[in-house]
Amino acid sequence: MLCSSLRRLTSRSFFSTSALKNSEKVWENPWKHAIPERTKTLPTVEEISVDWSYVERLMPIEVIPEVPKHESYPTPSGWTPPTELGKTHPYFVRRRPDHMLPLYLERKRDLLNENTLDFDYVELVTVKNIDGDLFVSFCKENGGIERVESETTVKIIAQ
Amino acid sequence: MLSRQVRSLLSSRLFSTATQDASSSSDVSNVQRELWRKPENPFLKTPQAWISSLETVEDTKLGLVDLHPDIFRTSPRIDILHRNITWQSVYRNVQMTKMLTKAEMPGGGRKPWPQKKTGRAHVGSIRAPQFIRGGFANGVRGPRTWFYMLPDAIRIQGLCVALTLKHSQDDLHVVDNIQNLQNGDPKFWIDLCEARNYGYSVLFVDDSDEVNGGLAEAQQSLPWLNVMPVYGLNCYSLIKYDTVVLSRSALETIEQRLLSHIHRAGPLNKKFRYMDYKEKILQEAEGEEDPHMPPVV
Repeated sequence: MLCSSLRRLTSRSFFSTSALKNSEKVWENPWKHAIPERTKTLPTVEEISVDWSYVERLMPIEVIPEVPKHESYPTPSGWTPPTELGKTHPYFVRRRPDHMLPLYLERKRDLLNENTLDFDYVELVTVKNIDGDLFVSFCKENGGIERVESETTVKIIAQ
Repeated sequence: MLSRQVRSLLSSRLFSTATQDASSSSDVSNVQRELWRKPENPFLKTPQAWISSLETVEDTKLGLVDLHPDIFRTSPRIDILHRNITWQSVYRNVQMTKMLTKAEMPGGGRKPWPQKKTGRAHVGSIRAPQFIRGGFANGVRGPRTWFYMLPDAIRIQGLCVALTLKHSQDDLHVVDNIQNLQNGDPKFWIDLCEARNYGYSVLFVDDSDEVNGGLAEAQQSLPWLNVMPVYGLNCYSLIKYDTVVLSRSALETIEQRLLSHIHRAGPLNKKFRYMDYKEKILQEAEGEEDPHMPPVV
């Protein structure tokens, strides 16, 4: 058993079929026989159908998907989708790419309180991406505007 | 290369129109292009562009195409554009000069003459800054880079702003095809650009990075006419060239890529390290051969 396997190994590596075919003697070309000939065998390729969906659902998300339809709004986390009513106003607040409203909280230092000699802090809410009539409509409907930052941004004092 | 999710999201909408476009080149724009995730803003007007042909000198308009307002009608943030352009000019700068101090200069260890009674200045070493062939006191020190990377969001917005400005100032044109044009005569191209008022310089942007046909011949002889693939698009080039001409497929690719980055799921503030980009920056001009300028080392 062992000697037969060894013979098979030696026959495969040390003796090439081409040399035997050409019937070249060992002493005529000793280098060829000293260095074993390396033959490459390419493996056969067979495509196996795999259901990649099991892998794909575990891979990270690349693009923010659309929000799935819920039965009732607001959702348990408090999210509401943009409604048609939002487009009827003379202004329009555009949502962020991740479907959230563009509201940002900021804590700013206000005036010095003379009694306690401590600075009073005020919480401001910044609303970005307001298109349309900012001054008249948006500021009128949402009172307590701290200041208008730019053509599309407004700061409101949080209640 | 489209990511698998962008592909799945866009396949249902854009690809149907894209395949129609591929089959019928004559009705290249009559199909109403559905813009992916078009903003629902009633105050935002969808920008449009004419599609023309480059076969004749006169501007033959083949149709009209809708452009995505998130890319071609953003607010014109010139400060962000400025940041992008300065970043492009500066982040690849590498300074190799090192001015040696008196300690690094050869010699200069011994006091050249005694402190008192010689009548000469009080001097400690022959290589002090006041001496000829002495060291520098506050010289430029060693290899230094001005490398920094702008956040992804700023760079994306910079591209959108540059495209918006080009389109709003009538410097953006869309053409159905740039490859395999018939006429390669430089005179024809000069006449074409003159007749269409393209201006001092023109940049043609195409989907693929190889040009065949008339345009390839023309851009060889005319230094102010250049062709660029979509992946080479940058704020500096968009502002440098007077006119930018996009091919139809390039327009699609640009929109797809920019929108997929704008609506990317992850954060847009990746940290960059100089060591990751050092080799690329230093080897940038390796393959370039100019007949007059010495090679960049």
